[in-house]
Amino acid sequence: MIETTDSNIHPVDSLIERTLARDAEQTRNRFAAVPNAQLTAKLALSTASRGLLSGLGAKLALYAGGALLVGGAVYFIPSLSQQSPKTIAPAMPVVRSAAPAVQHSSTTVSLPSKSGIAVKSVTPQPVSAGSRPSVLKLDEADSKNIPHITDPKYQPPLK
Amino acid sequence: MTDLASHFQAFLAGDDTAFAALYREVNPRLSAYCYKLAPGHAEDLMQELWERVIGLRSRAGRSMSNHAPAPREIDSPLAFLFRMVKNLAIDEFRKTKNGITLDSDATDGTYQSHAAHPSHVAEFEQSTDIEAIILEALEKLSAEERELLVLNIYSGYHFGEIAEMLGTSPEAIWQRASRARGKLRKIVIEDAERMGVALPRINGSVPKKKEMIL
Repeated sequence: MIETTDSNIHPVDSLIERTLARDAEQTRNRFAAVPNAQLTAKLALSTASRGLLSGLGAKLALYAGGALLVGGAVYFIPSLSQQSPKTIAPAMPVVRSAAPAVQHSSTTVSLPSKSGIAVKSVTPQPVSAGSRPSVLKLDEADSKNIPHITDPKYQPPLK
Repeated sequence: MTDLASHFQAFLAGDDTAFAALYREVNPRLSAYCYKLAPGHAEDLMQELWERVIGLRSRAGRSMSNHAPAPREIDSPLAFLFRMVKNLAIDEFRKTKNGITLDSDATDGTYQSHAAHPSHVAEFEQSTDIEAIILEALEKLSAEERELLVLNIYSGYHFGEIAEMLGTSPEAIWQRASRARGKLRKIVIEDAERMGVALPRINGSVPKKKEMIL
């Protein structure tokens, strides 16, 4: 195996080559020509993971293809029937109730939304379009406007 | 395509028996190379090499990390495996900073002696004087010269294969090997004369002790 580089081999060269060849053979014999258990296990793991990945890849490709097919069908079939999409109107009109307002003298004061009045829940009620919010008129300067009890059945409390 | 290349490609394609053939063909040779350059780390380096080779197959088809080429782009598995194990050896010694210098750009261009390694000491003690001188002389060569002779003599690669591994022409390898052998011979003769060890004469016979060349 050793290649000579000179046709006129010096006697020392042959001694050198014999010595090195013997040492080389001993050196090569130190090392195995068969993979050890650790390498064999790693190789088996590599082979197994490779097969697993290829199997998963095939399944993934199958599922992706199916999903594309279904998605394409859903997308294209309505457009083939030439139907314009319908607008779906809500079944019940949404009615917004007007906020209650209090008119003081000639001024109408609307209650602010942040008036501190606790409202547990407000159920919107359908109202007619022409209805107005109820107005309470109160003129404190005119004593005639003090309300009197006119109920004939009313009796004052006993003292 | 060579047997090695076909085995390598078959291995990458998923053939486990090709890995066994690849291992059988490469492991003793590159192990011998590692052993001569890094006696205490040869088995670890080769184990690391083969684990990386197995890892190549897992990453086949996509680009590898770092600067390593993708498995499909490896033109010469022999050169690839050699460079990989050499780089592993260099990395190992840069980490440990305890052993020989494998860098070709070392300041003196020579390998530091690793004769202090226990296994090497045992070899040294068992060998005869002239064998010890020859083995020691091999370590006194420059990094490139020593690598060349180790690949040729210890790993058993032909000049053409070494040229492929080192990325040069077989003629250049032949010339460098010729110079390396001449230098090795010169070192052996000088050391033998200095130590008073007999060397063979022109007719090839080894003189007896009393005929030692002084």
